[in-house]
Amino acid sequence: MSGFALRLSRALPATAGVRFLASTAVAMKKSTTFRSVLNVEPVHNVPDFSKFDPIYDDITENSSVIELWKKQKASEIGGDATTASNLDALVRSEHNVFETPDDFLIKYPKRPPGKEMQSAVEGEMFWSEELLIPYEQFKKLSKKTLVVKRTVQMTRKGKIPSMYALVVVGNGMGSAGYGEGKSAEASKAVMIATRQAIKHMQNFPRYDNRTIYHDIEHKFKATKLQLWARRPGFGCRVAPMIHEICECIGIQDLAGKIHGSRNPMNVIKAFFEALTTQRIPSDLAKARGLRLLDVNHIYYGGIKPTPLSARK
Amino acid sequence: MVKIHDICSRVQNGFRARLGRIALPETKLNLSVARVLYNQGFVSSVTRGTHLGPDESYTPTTNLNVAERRLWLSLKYYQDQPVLRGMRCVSKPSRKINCNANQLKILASGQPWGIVKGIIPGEIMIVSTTRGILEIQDAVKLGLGGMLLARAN
Repeated sequence: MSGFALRLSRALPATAGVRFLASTAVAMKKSTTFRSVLNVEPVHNVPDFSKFDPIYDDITENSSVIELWKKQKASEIGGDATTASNLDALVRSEHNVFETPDDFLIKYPKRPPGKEMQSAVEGEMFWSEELLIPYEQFKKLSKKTLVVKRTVQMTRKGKIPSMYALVVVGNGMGSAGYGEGKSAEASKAVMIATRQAIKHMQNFPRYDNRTIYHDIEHKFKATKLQLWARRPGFGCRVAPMIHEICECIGIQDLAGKIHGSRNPMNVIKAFFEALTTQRIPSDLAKARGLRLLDVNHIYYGGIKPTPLSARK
Repeated sequence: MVKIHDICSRVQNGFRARLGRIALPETKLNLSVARVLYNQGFVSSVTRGTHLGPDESYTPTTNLNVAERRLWLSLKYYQDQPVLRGMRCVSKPSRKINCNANQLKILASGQPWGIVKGIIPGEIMIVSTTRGILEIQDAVKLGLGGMLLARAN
């Protein structure tokens, strides 16, 4: 809706050939290049850019233009009390500004009508719909608070203490995750950490659903982990922190050793990272273009793992 | 023995640097090890060539061009990961490790023997036997023993 566009719409009716305005006559005499620049093809059905188009123009965005038109109209008519009320109507009729009807802008409700955000608090666990898992599944998850620390933020006016918690959450069938939370109260920190853990849950590959696929050596910060896959019935003979995580994931047979730093926070993070570095035989087969078969399952009749219910 | 270290470093570093292909000096040992890697699917092709690139057509290795001859291995990557994670030597010049057929069987089944750790699923061990340089599983099938050269994962 620029000035140039207005001129263009009045200067070029639906006839062949190019027409020049009287104001550009002088320019025409000055240079012939101007004519070549303005050598546009005739345009048909040019819209009137001074009027609102209901499809292409957004009234909600162009309030400043509408205000401008109202001002112009007011100055044209002159400060009359009777015509002031007609101002809106006049502007609307001239520029095709229409009142947005109620159903023009769709108001998307945040929740379906009649259903509010469901949530439940159970001790130190706070379930809400944002977690994207049903409440029954949430109750069955095994949650372990592994690290609770008292941290302090030093300010010039004194010490501000807060509690830090690291929680590991797992379903015992391969999925687990860890989360960290900080709050003034320990219980709230644990709650925040649990929710973080659920959001970061990941599925870890297990051989026969009981142990890791192969021996792993992994370094995370100053913690060096050595993990060895073991036969069924061996048990998890690993450090206490890793033992808890194995229970959450559902790893039943594992041997491991921590070298270097044994900081619980870092050991937990190192273990989760180490499990993701595993190489699954089917992926290896695809990468190398080989056929891999499990000798254990095919030739030795498959050593079936004892189910969790029969154990302990 | 220093030659095995050379192969291990070149191949491992080539994969870590995500190169498309690497050049090894053209020797019998390099060719044999490259053949084992190719058969195991770590490397997609083994080509003879010069220091600038693989040969377009067959050129024989003569006394005149022997210094420029190379073996080009084209490396493989799958799902944004190198197919070969690491290649290490087992025998060192200061300590060479020889195994007989039974001991190779133990290693091939994943159990450790001596200072050598057993192979994990997806790992290969390159053994120098009387019938040439073989992978450990092939050597066990033929009932051979030999010197453990390297392991690749």
